[in-house]
Amino acid sequence: MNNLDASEPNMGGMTANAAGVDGTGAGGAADAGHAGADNAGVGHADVSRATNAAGSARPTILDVRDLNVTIGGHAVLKRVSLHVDAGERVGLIGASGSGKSMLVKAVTGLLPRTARVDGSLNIGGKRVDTMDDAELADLRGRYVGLVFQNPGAALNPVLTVEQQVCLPLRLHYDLDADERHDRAMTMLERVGLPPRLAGAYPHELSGGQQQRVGIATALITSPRLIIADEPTTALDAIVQRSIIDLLVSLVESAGASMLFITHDFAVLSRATTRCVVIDGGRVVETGGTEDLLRNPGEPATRALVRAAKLLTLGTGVGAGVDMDGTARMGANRERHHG
Amino acid sequence: MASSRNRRGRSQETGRPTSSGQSEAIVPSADTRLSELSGDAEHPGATRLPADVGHPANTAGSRHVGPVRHLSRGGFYGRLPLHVRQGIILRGMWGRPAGRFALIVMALWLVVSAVSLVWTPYPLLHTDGDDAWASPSAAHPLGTDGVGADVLSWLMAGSRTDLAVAVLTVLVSAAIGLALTAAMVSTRRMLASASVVVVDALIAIPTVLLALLFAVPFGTSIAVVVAACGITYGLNMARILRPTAALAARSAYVEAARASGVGPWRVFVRHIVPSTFPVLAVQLSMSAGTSILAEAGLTYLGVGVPSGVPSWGHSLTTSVRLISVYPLTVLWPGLVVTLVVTALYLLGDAIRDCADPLANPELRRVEVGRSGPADRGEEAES
Amino acid sequence: MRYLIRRLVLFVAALLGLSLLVFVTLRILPGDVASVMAGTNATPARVAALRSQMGLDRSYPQQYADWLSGLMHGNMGVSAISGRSVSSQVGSHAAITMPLIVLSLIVALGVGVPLGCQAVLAANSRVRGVLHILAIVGGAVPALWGGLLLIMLFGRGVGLVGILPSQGFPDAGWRNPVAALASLILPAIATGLVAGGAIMRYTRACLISMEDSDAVAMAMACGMSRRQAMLGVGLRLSAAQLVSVAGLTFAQMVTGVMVVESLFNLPGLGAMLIGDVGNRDLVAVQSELFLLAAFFLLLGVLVDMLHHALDPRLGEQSEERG
Repeated sequence: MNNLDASEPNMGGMTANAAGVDGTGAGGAADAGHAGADNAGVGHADVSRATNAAGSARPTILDVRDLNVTIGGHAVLKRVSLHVDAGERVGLIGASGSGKSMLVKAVTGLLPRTARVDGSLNIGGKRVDTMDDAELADLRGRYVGLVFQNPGAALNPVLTVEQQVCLPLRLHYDLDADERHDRAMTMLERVGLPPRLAGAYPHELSGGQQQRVGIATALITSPRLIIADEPTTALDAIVQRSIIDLLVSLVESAGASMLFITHDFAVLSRATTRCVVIDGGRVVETGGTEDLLRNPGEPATRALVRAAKLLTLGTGVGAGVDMDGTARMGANRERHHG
Repeated sequence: MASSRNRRGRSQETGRPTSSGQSEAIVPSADTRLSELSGDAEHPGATRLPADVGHPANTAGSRHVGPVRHLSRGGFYGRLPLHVRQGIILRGMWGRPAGRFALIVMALWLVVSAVSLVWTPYPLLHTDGDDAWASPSAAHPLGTDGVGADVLSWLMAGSRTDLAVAVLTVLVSAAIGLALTAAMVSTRRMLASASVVVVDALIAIPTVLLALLFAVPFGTSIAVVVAACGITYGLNMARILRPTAALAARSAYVEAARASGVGPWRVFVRHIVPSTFPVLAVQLSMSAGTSILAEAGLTYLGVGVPSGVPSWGHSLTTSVRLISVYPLTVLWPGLVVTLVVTALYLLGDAIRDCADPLANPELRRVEVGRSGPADRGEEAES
Repeated sequence: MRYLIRRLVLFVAALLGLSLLVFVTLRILPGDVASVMAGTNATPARVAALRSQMGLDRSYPQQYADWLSGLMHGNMGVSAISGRSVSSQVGSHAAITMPLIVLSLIVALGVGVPLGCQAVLAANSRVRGVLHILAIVGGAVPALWGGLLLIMLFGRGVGLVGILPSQGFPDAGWRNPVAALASLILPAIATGLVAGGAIMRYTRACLISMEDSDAVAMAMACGMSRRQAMLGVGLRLSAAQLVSVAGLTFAQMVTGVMVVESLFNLPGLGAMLIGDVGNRDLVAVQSELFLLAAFFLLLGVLVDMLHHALDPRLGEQSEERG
């Protein structure tokens, strides 16, 4: 069975042997099958090697620079910059109203038509902010996978689980029904759903099961970038852990990158290695997740860490953080003012 | 503010078809309504709660009367004094082009009706046989009809009749609609089920058939039009109000009231009905508009306003015979009706956008009772 | 399945209630029906004969039972005025009205739904604004006026571009389908455009309410363009509500249909019913009115069932939501 190749942001049809669902490692031997792509080893020759803050040689999958988004005269994102390198799992954390979801929408082209956007957005080296909807639609679901906060509302109620999961396949690839079925069933298995649920409708599933379907849908095309918009916020605590672990393991085994949005530091510490703190539409702090948990700098960060501790009963990570802000700066951490 | 307009529109719209099928409101389910209340406050315009809001002591000395309700998307809604609220609502409506148009047309309509009580260019019964089917001229700005009566005078007088029809229909349909809604959300299961059955069963009956039915024993009159329209639109209204009312009936607030022994009627009027106001406003204005269209049609068919009584339907009916004689005169009565009905529909939309505290931030942004500089006068900060 | 049964039971109950309503209302006539119908110059014997012929000398419950049993045998009574059996008239008139209604509905849906979608999806905001206005104004036009304007524009012999017949229905009826159809075009447009305005408004409102929904966002996230997602998912998910609305618009369209029948001089059910009401032809009115109302009740049931079938939240929940 051929694997799907989502390794190029702008490919046309189906190609063979990409790092795929069955996990052939980070940026594995990807034969893109279209002119000009050099896919030996890690990374891809024509992916832009824009400078990234960590200074590593890994390509940048998502590069946001000075993004400003205004809706109805109200600035919801102000000069936001962040980046996600290949294989990285980055968290975006902020309180309600801080602009997290706006960023997701801006990146994927889901903002309302009335929104004003400026700044630069790069996905997989391609300039995305100048793309029109058709080009963005090609990226979505193939190169970028999106997991939603409320699967009960996001899943199409008239589609069965299998139909939903196959949707990205139908939209982007030319497979026949059997192939689609096989891939769907494989995917269901990988997210931990029993095969008998393939014919079920969303309203017949529990919240956790619905989210697994959402994850399966997002990942079935082996996207290079997975954006999870508060995927566990609507779920109960026990289910949260298993969903987070599922996401992390799927992303790791596919060698993909993830941007994980949440308001809960406890979740981030499980899911990400680095995170970006956003408040009032601005990035206020970035750094390693563990680092920030131990020594939060900015007031917004401190508040979030405090809240996480309150909820997780202060066990383990970061106990003993200084509440009045006399935190020490760790390596690789930046504070942003203004 | 375009995107917030979309959001606003969405939160108020009703889930069921309306009387004439002319409403544009469709409600997302009750769940979405809830998420509007408790969802993320990334919606522009959400106010930041001051740190100490909500503490009971802080509302002492505020200008609010009655209970203060907190909206988790920011701000809170306390009942401002009526005149303040009305001022905010009216100003909001005037500020929009559609609202302004609607208000102007309404005002004109009222003025013309009042004026026609005492004066019209020609007395209605004045007929100038020589001058029948005349084209517009200085003497008769809109021409004359088949018996030489002045079209303009009859149109002006007709505005009275249609105003009466609209107002009466609104009253009757509101009464029937609210009564049925009360029955449908009642705690007595038999009553609730029975009323749902009645509404679902009868809702498909067209207005005109009811009018014809009533016309046989009672003859043709305004009462027949009002009765037929009132019943049809009332049934529609009940169906549309039901989701909103049911949601309110399940709220903790109402349960507490019921538990503390407040009578069912009071519970309904004081607690459930207010939550339906935005939907009600739209529906009532729809009813008003459609009743005028119905009057025109029914009068033409002979089962509406009796032929001696001036009405827009009458003017339209007489103009039918004008087609071959003076085509352009046909324009006026139809134009008047279209304008007024459009204005009524727009009025409903404007009220919905401006009078619902969830949709209109102005009604929410009130200062918490703090003494001193916070005690500004009349207006909530805008 | 349970829903189906429940709905049908409801339908039968409503039919009975309706028949009772019609029966009782028509008996509220002040004065004596028979003498009114016989005329002022009738002899008492004539009046008495009429009375017994119409069955008015029997008790009310008896009359009701007679009527109902007659209906079930397809006997709608004999018109006391024309002497003809009511059922024979209904057939020929219905052959005009029913196709007219169907055509009007096609126009209404064919204009209303696409334009309503465009009012939300068009790229140019000015176009969207114009369509919005069109939706509001379109639904505010009285059918009478609309019909008049159409006649003035397109009516053969009268209008600017006189290409379509505007009066009467060919005697040959449907044996000459082209001519018959041609005479229904202008009337159907007159009624359909007005109802189309309402449907346009509803469609637009439905789509707007879905614009920010998670389901559409997820469809886009899977790879659909905005337009695809709005039409494929947004419209599909609001189809249930739209169907209900269309059903009700249909019911309201009836006034327009009757007006238009009169305006365009089509001898349809409207003309028949109005004539009989004017003549106080009790027997005819009773059955005709009941049948027409029953037709719309049936339609309501069908629409409800369609709504139920389309509603993705199958089961009890959808009834909860109203």
